Amino acid sequence: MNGIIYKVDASGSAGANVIVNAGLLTTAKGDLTTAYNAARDRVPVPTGPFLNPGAGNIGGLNLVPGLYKFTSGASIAGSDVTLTGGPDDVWIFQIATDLIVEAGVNRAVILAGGAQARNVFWQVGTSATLGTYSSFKGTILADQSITLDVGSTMEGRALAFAGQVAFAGTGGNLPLAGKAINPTPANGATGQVITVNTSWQNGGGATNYAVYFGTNPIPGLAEFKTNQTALSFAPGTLSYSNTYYWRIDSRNAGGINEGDVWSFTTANEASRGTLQFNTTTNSVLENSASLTVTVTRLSGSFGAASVNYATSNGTATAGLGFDYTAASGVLNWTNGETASKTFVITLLDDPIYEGNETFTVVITNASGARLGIPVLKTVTIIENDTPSEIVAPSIQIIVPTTNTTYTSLTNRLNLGGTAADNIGVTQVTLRNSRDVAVYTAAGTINWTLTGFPLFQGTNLVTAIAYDASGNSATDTVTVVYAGDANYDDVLRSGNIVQEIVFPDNLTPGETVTVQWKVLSYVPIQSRIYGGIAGGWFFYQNGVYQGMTVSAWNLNGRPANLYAFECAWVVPQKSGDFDIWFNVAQMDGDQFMIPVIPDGVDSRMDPTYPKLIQRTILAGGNGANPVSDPDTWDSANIFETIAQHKERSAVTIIEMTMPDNLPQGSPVTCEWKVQSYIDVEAQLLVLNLATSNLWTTASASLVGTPVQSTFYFKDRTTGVKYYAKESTFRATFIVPPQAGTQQLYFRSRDSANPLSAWMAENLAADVDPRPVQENGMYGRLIERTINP
Amino acid sequence: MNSRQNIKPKPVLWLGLSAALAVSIFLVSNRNRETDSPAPVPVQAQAVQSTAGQALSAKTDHPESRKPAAIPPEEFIPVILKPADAEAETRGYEMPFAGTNKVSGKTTAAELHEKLTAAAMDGNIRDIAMFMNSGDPAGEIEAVRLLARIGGGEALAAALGKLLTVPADSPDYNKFINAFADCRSAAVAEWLTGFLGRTKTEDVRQRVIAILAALHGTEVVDCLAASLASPIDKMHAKDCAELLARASDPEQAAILRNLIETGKTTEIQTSAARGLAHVGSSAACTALLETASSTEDIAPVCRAALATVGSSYGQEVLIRAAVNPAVPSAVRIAAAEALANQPSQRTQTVLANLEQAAGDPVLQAAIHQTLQTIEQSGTPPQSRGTAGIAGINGELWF
Repeated sequence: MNGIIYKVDASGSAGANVIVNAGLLTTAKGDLTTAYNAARDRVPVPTGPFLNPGAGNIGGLNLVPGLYKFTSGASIAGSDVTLTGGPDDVWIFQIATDLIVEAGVNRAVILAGGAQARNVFWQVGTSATLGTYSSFKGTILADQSITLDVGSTMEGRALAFAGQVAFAGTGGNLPLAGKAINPTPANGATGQVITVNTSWQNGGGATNYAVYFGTNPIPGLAEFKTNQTALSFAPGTLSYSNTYYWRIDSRNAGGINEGDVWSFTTANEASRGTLQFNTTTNSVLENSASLTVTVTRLSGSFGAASVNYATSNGTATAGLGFDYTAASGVLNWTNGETASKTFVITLLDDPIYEGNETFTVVITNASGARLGIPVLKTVTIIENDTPSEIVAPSIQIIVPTTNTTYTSLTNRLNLGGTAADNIGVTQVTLRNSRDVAVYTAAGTINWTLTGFPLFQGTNLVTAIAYDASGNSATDTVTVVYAGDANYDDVLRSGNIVQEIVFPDNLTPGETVTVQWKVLSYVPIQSRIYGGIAGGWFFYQNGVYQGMTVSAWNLNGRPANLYAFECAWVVPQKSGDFDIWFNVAQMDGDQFMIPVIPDGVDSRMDPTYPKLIQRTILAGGNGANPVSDPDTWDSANIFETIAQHKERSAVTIIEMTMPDNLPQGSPVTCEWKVQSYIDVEAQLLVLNLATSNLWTTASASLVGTPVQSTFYFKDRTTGVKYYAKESTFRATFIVPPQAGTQQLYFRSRDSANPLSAWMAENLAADVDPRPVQENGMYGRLIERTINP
Repeated sequence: MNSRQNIKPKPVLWLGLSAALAVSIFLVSNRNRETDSPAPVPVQAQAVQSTAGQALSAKTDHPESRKPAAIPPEEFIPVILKPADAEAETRGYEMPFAGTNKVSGKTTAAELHEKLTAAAMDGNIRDIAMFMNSGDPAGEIEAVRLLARIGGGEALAAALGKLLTVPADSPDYNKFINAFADCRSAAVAEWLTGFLGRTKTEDVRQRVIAILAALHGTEVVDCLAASLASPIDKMHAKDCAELLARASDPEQAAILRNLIETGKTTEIQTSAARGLAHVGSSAACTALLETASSTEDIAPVCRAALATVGSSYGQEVLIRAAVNPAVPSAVRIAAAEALANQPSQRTQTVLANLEQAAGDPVLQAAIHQTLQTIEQSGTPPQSRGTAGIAGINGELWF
């Protein structure tokens, strides 16, 4: 027997599947009383053929659905009884005393025409006996006892009040549940939203449901979604103009009752309508408080819809003290709503004559509707101030020279000069083509700027004077600074990403703020780019936001931590994708990929030390990602092949380095690197405590470099350049300093003795001993020197 | 503009989340009394379908080697083909090569990631949750992250259960929490905020604070502001105010600004202003500059908050405000004071010249004081052992 036996207290029979639960039994008995009385007292009282059919023996009869009454006992003998009716028809037998099914002759209750055992009820006034080898259908509600003799089977339930249910049969099944009914959407419904949820009602007796859903008119295993108890199922976002078929199979302990196949059709996509501005332009007076912008929904209103809006600077500038307040947000429409939506942009009036200025407003990322035309609106702020004067100021750089060129011996320059204007100079600013930042001079008519930074090479310094009307003028001086012999070295020495703020689990189409900081000895520009297998990628320039000095210092030159930020539109393609960070000197187009040390990004990087990963959730429309047009359209944004080869860095891919090193003894280390050029290598042993160098050991090349399977391809010619794998060996004397020390590997172009040494990168998991955080992540290993 | 939608679990899942968390918290509360071994994490048995799992894809080619969708797949033909490397992929000019792990002999991060990815593709929460007790911190953290991505009551309950039971003194404690930070669930934020006021266990309270402080997105700000408007008790109010003031996600700048302007109480407005200062992004600083320049009663509070900005992401915005004569003097002073928190030659040069340029003696005095503060508090950049490395060729000593 399968199942559980419940008993009132511990005095009952024992066994693995015997559970004491008096409360459950009390409830069951109460339910049985209710059912018994309902069957016994059902009216009207049967008459004619429904009263005592067959004089009490219904064997050989074929009974239609209905209420039958027996004033004494009932039996099924001499022949089988047949109950003929539909799957929803009901038979109730009211039996005053016993029910006896004939023994020994395979006597049976036969269901015909779709009749269901779950719809047959036998109310028995005393006891029921199912004779040997009989086959019975329906629910017996007996006042006394029920006996199922040897070999008998039953599809139904045997429920007794006072006596026992004695089972000696060969098997039994609960009746099947009724089919699920009343589907929503209704069968054959059309014009459904693509986010429709399906629901149904219990057809009777079902405890859970198997849900099939798909576009196959005959749902099969491929369309099976889930088994569930809930009476609703959300199929997710569907396609437009598509017919979907679904089936709910009702399940209970008796088995599975396969449901009918229902269908519905989703709405035509065009019925969602389009979202667009009502005009391509707006004009507004500068002294207006605000501008209300209208977005319309045309050619359909089916389903909810939304669209993002945002302002973008043109000649007009957003922000305090400027022309307008930046605005962005989301406009929402409900299903069937056709009314236009508006948002307000606050205008800022200034007393300065600037002429008419413009900014743009765009709507993007439409959801539930398509974008129409126009989606870009140009707003013209009409100048309300009098053009009091249009005379540009004059400006002249006097200090350090009035000439157009100057040679500086220091990396800090004091500048000074004069400026004049008929209504007065309001501000003088200076910028260096080599620097990321702009400086404001002290003074106006006679202005000075102390400590203006210079960098190795040619610095184009521009001084700009502004007057109260917004007129401006410039003067320039080219300053050559040759005193920084190490500039090229630090330029090549790579950079490290120190902080990353990059959200994860991204929603397609949303705009997120991405922040990162890069440690560098020289001012840099930076960008992100990323992609996914299958052919899409994006570029996005970072906007410089500020810098702070770091603890790192190279011969007096402090390294700075440069902060970048960008607003990035999440691609409409779901999946994991990789992101790299690029840096380049300010006036250069030679971008390098900085190392992202372990721990800088919170997300696990399985293999690569120069990228991070993020995930875009499902739900995008598949459109290609949005790249920063300034970056995408740039020509020659990458280095020459030769530059790439030289500067692409060297990565250690294998290493053999012992630990617990004995002081004063020679130790040999071997490591294998990958590089695009032939390199020579060194191993350096550092003293962690004193920040000094213990020793430098030149490495010898072991064997001949072999070709790696890694390559890069010239985008113009298609030529592939394969990396090389070289093995180096170096021996050094273990320093006389016990404790943890660090080892550092570097290499340079072996064909060019004037080239710079560069730190070799350590690929993930190459060295088994984790490096403690000390700032030089991914570039060194640690070992212990024994006392 | 962030267009994320609030994701609320269905009631039935939410009940599951509450129930599972109740068990977890019981375990936390009883952990010290029973054993030092890690408490079991409650996991629901039912598997769920995961669309997120389908998102997990193969590794990416370096984009420089082809244009988007225009370059057909290439045939890889190495001149010397080494079988061991036959599966290697092109990663680009720079060489972030894969490690071989021939030395350590243990399970590599890549292998671990591969296993977890397989579990995530199946969307099997139980399989993923099993990794949370694998004993390998990297795998456990990754499992928490994957559950946060899958979302829904069951997955989030399993992940939260882990966060509430991992030892707080574990070196990886914050990594676990950060892995959960992008779950973006309004229901989780709401439950945690409410639970923060109900719990009487100090250890649990601290854990909940740590999780709330790490959660990204606007949902948590909404919940904290709502709780601050009607706190359960004084401690709850204090916690919510402090958490609001510790906002750090740049995506929260807009909603914090909105709270300054529409917050129901001064306490909410003040906490929001402090939160903006703590975020410190360009947008956050712009918002603070504008609210600090207003004529509203809250303006002085915003100016005070502005002066505490410490993030360099707002530095250029602060510099532009400090040197802009059109900005109110009190706001310029606050901006200049904030620059003292971001010592660099850049800020010192700007402030030194601004001191000369400012016509307002009050502003000049404030800048002078700021420069003195920088000089007194700022330790000069420390040499970190360049003596042997940088002497000749000077590669970076990071």
